[in-house]
Amino acid sequence: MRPSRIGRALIIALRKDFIVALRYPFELVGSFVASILMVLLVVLAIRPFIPSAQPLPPDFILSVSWGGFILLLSSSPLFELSISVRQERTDGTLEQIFLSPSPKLPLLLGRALRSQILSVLYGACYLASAAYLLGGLQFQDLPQGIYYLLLGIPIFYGLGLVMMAITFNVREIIPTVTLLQIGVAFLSGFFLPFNIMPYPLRVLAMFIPTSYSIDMFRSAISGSQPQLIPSSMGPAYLLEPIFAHVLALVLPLLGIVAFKATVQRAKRRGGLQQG
Amino acid sequence: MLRYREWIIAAMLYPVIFASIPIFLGTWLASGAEGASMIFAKNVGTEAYSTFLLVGANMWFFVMTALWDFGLKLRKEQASGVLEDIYIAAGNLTWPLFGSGLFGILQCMAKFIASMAIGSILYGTLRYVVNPNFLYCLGMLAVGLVGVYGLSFMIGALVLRVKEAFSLLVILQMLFGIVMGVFYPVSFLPYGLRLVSYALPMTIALNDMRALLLSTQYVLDVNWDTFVILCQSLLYVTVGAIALRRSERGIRRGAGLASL
Repeated sequence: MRPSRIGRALIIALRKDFIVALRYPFELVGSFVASILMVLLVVLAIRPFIPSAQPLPPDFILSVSWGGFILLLSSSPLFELSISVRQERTDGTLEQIFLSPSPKLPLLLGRALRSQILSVLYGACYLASAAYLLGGLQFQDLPQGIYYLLLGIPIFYGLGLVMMAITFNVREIIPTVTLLQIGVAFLSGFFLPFNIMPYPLRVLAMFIPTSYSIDMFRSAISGSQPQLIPSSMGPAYLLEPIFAHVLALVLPLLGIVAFKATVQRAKRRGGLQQG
Repeated sequence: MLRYREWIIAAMLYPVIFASIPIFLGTWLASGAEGASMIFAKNVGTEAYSTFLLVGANMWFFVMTALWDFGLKLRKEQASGVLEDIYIAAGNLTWPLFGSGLFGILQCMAKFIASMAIGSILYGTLRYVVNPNFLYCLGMLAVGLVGVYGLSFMIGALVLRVKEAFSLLVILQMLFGIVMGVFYPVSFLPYGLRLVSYALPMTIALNDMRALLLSTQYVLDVNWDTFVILCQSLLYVTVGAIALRRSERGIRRGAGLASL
């Protein structure tokens, strides 16, 4: 399939989704409000643990602020991709998409792209509110941090595509994707650095593909050493970037293969509507 | 529910995960579990911070479930064009609503037991939960949930009008999380907001469930509080049912139920 055709399908899907989104302005504005409320909830939730008149540690502020931003950023690939397939299936329009001669994956990815653009804006709103309420953000190496943050996006999309493939085979995907998103947020150290995680959780975190880029991101912005890989396994500052780069290449490919294989299987079996 | 077993597992795990984030953040801030217990006891009145947060997270999850289940269900029916069929049917909607509410309450009670057991085992705080007061706690939960379902009827009425259910529900769930004192006592809120908080259907129940299990403070005392929760719940259900009925009538007179 020609790349221009795929790109065109992606842009058409994105445009269509933005037209639909603009029809519901309250949804757009409401999500900004929700992201500010989310910061407020976190700030209040930690208050019972703060001894009087003690400022918050800078690495804590960094974790809570960027953690929320990454959580919002990851919601499109980890949640929206699967949900959009589920939506098409419950509406009964999934088979129509697959009967049309247009490329399927870009059409479905276009939906996530719209929410990805919006989630970056919501995340920025969260970040600004967190910086204001928690006491400002400090960065050691912002360009490198942004690089690792961007490197994490294909990994999220790879995981999301695998989940989207699973969506075709299960009756109800919402609890699974929600647990996946919360689990990934928790174990990849969005909010908590790995050195304060209990050991069993830290071992589990090593099997979550997104952990490496998030750890490198945290390490870059806070100026600390990477913490996920224990020193007994080798130098973390060397191994973690390698793992992060390899996963950023492999996981999206794995996702595309899983998606295509599932669609082929569904076509052979005679239907996509398993719900 | 049995057709979608994934939901049962998720419902037991969500509150534990919700509670785990402030538990870990708090432990980090206080430089360890011992420090966290001490500071939490000084600020809140109990050192059992994980049980405190688990009860709150469960309650928040139930409020969210009630709001999403009912609010979004109506919106989906409306968007897919079957809401009109439901209203045209020659039956009385009160009893199906009552039945689905009752099922929701029983379901929440079962989830509460399971989730508290999982969370307490995980955090080694089972001693706070395995005591006779837990039964009283369950009773209080059931009464409080009646009010939550009343509130969800009101939200349903609003969703029928506003039509943009998703953001409305996301904002409401965050607002309830803040105002109900899910992760902290309501006394942490400014005075004016505290009054709003006590007017919500689950705040007093949540406060008293914690008081029963962890010997923190009641709002008034256990008997008066139970009476207030009961009155609040009846009020919310009545107002919710009226609001829903009025909203339906209003829409029927206007453009139709399925207008997008």
